[in-house]
Amino acid sequence: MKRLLWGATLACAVVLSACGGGGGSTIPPPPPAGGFTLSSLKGQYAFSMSGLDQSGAYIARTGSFNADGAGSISSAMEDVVDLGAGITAEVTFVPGNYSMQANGRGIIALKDTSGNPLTLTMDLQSPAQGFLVQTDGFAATSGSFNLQTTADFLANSFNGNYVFDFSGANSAGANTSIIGKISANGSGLSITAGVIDTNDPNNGPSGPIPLTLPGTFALDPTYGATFGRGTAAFAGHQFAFYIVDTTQIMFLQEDSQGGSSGSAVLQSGAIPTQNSGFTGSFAYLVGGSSMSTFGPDAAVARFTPDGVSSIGAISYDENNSGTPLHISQGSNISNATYAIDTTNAGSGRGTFTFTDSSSARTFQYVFYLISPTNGVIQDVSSGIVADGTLLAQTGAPFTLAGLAGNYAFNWSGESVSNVENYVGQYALANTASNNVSGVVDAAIFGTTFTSFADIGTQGTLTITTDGTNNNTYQIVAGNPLGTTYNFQAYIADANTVLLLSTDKTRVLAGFVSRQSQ
Amino acid sequence: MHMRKITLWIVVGTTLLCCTTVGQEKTLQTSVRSSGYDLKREGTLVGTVIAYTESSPTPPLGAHVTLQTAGVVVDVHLGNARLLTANNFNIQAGDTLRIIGENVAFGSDAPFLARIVQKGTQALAVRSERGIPMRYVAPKNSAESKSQGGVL
Repeated sequence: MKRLLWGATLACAVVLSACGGGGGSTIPPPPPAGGFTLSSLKGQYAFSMSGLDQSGAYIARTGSFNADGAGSISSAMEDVVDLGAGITAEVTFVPGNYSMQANGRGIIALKDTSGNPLTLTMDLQSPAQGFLVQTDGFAATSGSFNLQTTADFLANSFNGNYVFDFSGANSAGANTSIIGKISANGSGLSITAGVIDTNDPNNGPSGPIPLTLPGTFALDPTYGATFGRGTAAFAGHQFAFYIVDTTQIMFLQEDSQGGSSGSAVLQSGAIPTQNSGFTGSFAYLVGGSSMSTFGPDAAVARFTPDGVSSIGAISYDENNSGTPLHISQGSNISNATYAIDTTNAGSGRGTFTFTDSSSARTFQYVFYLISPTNGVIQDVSSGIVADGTLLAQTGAPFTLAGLAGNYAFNWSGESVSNVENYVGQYALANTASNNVSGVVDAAIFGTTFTSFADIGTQGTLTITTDGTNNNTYQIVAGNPLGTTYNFQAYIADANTVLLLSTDKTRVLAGFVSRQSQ
Repeated sequence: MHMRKITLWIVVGTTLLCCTTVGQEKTLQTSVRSSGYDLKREGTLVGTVIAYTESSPTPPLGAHVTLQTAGVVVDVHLGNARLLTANNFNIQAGDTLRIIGENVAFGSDAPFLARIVQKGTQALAVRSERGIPMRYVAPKNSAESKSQGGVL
């Protein structure tokens, strides 16, 4: 039944797209506001991007570039996995260049040693990190980058307990999620222990699987010292990695089983070992696919674990292939419980679940905590393969006055006919309406590749009650993009908002992060 | 604070847990990815090349040819220029081309997307029947294949 509904939605959407072509509004991009300059991008940065190639197959790229703070990229390299072409490649680039506007928007232009271009549009959150979208039309990828600490380009930087979240595709092209915790012993070059949870359409959720064989890792003798590159093997997979610093390492799966990418982040703080250690309010965002519609599925929500075994204050929004669903806490919610894993004690692993009678569904999740306030999360509900980010919700009540400022954002997902990736920047004002003004860059892949650069946007973030549940957020992108995007916005803190589109013609999910310059 | 990029998927090409058929998967895959291109709407253009560019600033990205047909000048999207070059499909002003394709609504425009381009006795498919642009993949073990990652 849902397939039929999605099909009907598709048909409608084609018409809407055609009709909407001439009906968009002209929104001049506002003058770039902010304090970013060419010197804001200075140093060596690791990046991780993923998406689809021109054949619609999974592609991911992870690499490193060195910006001189004056508009030049002095060196860069990347590892690429393209399941459509069956290619795993190490690519080195000749010196390139970049631009930067005051609002943190810029373009990185690279060419490999054969002259093939790689063009990335970026929006900086700060001089230390930003969002990226590929805008050269050769693939539809997006992601993020982080300033590397070159002094940490050593094997013994990979030392301690790391929580990871790798998302990608298996060799059949189906999406996979791998989350877990691994322990690395630095100069010992071994991954000594770990526990992982996997989920894919073929096998379903694995449950916690301890690593029975030690893994290995090593710095690349050629590119380790210059780019922080290395290779690793564990849990039956082989990876290339790039060291950001001792607390974060970006991984790219490179083996015959498929491809995936993501980061491993050093655990810190008091990781809960009992239910009593997991309290407060949390928000999460997951994305993947649904086995009921065979289409994209994403969800954003918040909940409050009570320090015993129950969760409450649930607010949940999902968009399953263009069918939005909202659930609020009430008598409709039952069996809302959580448990910190005591079998794999100290791993930071936990689970939670709740049942909603109004939708007749039970929602189930696995998470691993990086810290008491941050973690990765995997959706293991029946018929769902998805993963994402879990964040403590702090600083409520949220108000427009408290949130006002400049933000960078990244959305990605699927519309009825396209893969869509967006990065942008906007200023949020303390006014009830029309409080968003900025620009967006979009890379749209459907029957063609099209990129839209520096499109003016306007919109409104409306905060409901104390802002801890679902808030509405509408962005209108001017021509030639000419599209209105409707989101549910969950505020994690004064600097971070999680977004899920509620439109019936597209499923988008992403983050909004306050800019710090 | 670690925030992971969210990736959304259309399910393809796998044996699924729930009860379905491969046929169902393919149906959805086709509709979702290629709802803008329909073989039933295809038409044929015949005209003389006014201009050709491998990389046009006009969307969609890729090679474009401006064609003088009997009634009107048409901008045609040819897809990946490297595919044309690799197949020694050279296009110059004054050439006569026969192009099979269709107009597809996209954003605020409706470009004519070529699926098959013919010049004299040479014909080249530049787009699949589902409307996906053909990609150029360098032959394995060639020098070019080693640098393929850079253009992905």
